[in-house]
Amino acid sequence: MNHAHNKPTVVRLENLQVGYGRKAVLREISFGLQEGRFLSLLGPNGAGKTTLLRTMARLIPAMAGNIMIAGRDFSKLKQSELARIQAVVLTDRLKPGLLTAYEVAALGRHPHTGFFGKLGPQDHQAVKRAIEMVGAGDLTDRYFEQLSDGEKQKIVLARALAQEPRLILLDEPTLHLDLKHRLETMSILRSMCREMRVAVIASLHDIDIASRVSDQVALISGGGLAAFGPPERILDEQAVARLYSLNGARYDSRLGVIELRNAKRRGPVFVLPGGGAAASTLRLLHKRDYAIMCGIAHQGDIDTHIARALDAELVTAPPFGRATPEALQECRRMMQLAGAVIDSGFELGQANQDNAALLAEASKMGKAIFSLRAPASQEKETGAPAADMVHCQDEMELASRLSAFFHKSVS
Amino acid sequence: MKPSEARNHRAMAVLPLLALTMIVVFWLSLNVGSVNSRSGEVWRIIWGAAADANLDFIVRNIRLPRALAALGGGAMLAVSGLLLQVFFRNPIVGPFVLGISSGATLMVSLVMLTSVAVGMVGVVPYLTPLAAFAGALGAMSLVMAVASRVKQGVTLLITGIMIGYLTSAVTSLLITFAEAERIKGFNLWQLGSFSGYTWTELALMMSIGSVLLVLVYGISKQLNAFLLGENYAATMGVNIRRFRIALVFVSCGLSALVTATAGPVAFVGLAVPHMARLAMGTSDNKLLIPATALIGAVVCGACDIVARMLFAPVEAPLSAITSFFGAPVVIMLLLRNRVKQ
Repeated sequence: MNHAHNKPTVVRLENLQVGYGRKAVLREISFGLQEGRFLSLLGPNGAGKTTLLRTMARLIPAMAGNIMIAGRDFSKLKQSELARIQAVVLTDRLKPGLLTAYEVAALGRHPHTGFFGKLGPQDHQAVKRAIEMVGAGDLTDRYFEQLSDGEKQKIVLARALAQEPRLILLDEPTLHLDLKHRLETMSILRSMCREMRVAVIASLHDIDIASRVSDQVALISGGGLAAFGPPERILDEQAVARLYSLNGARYDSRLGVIELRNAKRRGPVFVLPGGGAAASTLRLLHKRDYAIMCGIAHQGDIDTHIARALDAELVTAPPFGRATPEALQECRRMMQLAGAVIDSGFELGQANQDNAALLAEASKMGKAIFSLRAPASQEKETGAPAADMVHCQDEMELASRLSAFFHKSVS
Repeated sequence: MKPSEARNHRAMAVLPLLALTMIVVFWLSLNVGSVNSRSGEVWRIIWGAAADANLDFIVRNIRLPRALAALGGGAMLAVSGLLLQVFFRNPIVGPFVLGISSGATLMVSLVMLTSVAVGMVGVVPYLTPLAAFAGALGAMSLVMAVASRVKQGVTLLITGIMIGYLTSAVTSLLITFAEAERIKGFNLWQLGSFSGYTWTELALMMSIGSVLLVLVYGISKQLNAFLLGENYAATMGVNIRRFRIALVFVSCGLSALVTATAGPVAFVGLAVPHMARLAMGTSDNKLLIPATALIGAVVCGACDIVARMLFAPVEAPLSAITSFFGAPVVIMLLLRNRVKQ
């Protein structure tokens, strides 16, 4: 972490105030970013991310405060000098007419070429390097306007890179892109940071993508900078919930995902988890609006994280340890309440013998049991009689059988 | 082969072809007219071997300046249109549509129809061109002011059309109260024609025009950056304010020069840049500027010949001919865009 200190700072904002006309959108923005670092601006729509980026791109004037870029005073730089330090990617749709992808990328050489803008061998080299970097070598000969959205975005990134900047500002670079191109775009930006030592500042919507790629995040809400720092430190459940005023959704910082809250109209069901076996079952049941209870879940197990993010009632045990008698008692209480008990088909090890025992107990209680385990190995593994259970091939079958079961028991 | 090379190869084929076509149009223009002339004679006259004094006068003092003016004027209008289309990022703008010609018309009508300028005629040489330039600049500033507030191209077009209506309202008022003599002169000017073009006018138009065309090349780099839009151009280092002033000055200057001396000529500035794009297969302005100039010259020269011949010996108004050819081109382009979307 400390090696960051000897990297030169590319850009530093000092008490910057941004806005339109006389109306301030953000006040007192101060932070710095070192070269080769990725900074994500996160915040709800209309918080002022774009306004901040447009100010840094000098498309609108700063209202107060200062920006130091590459050690120089932003306000004293000429437009062309700034363009040699900083490239910008906007959400504006490009309509360059009959220009090829190569020519669009080559426009990035603008601040480096002479009076007539003629491209020299070095310029062509820079453009080719940029196009290779974004993996668009096969697109160069095609007209830009005939490319797909994802291909266009690659060329837009190549154009910014061809400018050979030390800092790239991007406003919502993954807007309008499908998942594949979204991931591609982010990995391109990431390698720009790592390989070309470019500093990147991007406003992003995807908090989970942001937490994965960013070295720093800036949370923007309430007319200022709410928090700034590495995502590992900044992005916890409370911060994210506050940032987006999340209502009916939960964020899990370990998994880096946001889960919706469900209405818990069906069930409740009791799930026996273990070693990730219940992950997709839990998500599916949650999606189908079941109220979920879950135990014994070991701390650190992915099942535990998911169950917690899904707002399930949870009984936990220490990592790789046995459950306390109280915990087991709590599980029994839950099983009593539950309309059905679900065996996720967890692998049996030393630590989760408890769950096997609970399953056998459920069988004795006469609970309806749905199992994802193969019927042949059921008794051998868990000691519960296979005949009393409904065995399902996969989670989908489980869901439909469960639905039929609850439908019958209601009517 | 790299795409830029392919593009250059195409340019190297198309540009000379266009130049050749322009020479053919120029030659035809010298040979066509109400007085019969054999091309051999015309050839000798140009090289100074006078055969027939009458024909010599016609070719040297009527047809030659007229042909040169039609070619040069066409080139200038077309390049002016190209600049405006790139700047406004809108394919259906041109000097005529944006009201620049109307602004020029208004000022010229003030000069030609009223006594406002009577005292100045002797004092200020080239009063009409200056008035046209002032009018063009005024109209353009108005359009720019609107353009900076609204982003939609339609609003721009409507502004241009409204300026056109306003000026024609003022002009018709002026005509109502003007003397018959003046009305005739103004009407002739308003129809648009390169006939009766004098060497003096030609010298004026060509000298300033060629300076402006060189200036256009000087902003071609910024013009290309503008293909990505004003915001991107700014972030790539274009000084938007300075560029905007240069562009308005040059495009106004070019269309005002032609309008002042030949009257408003419709559609050349609008349609020709599109023809150039189709011919060259690129939007790279460094290649488009010469192509647009050449095609503008060819189109305007050819239309001038048609205007001369169609109802000979009566001259058809040039704008009528250019509209006949230009309006369908624009409609076709609009339909094509619709289909692509």
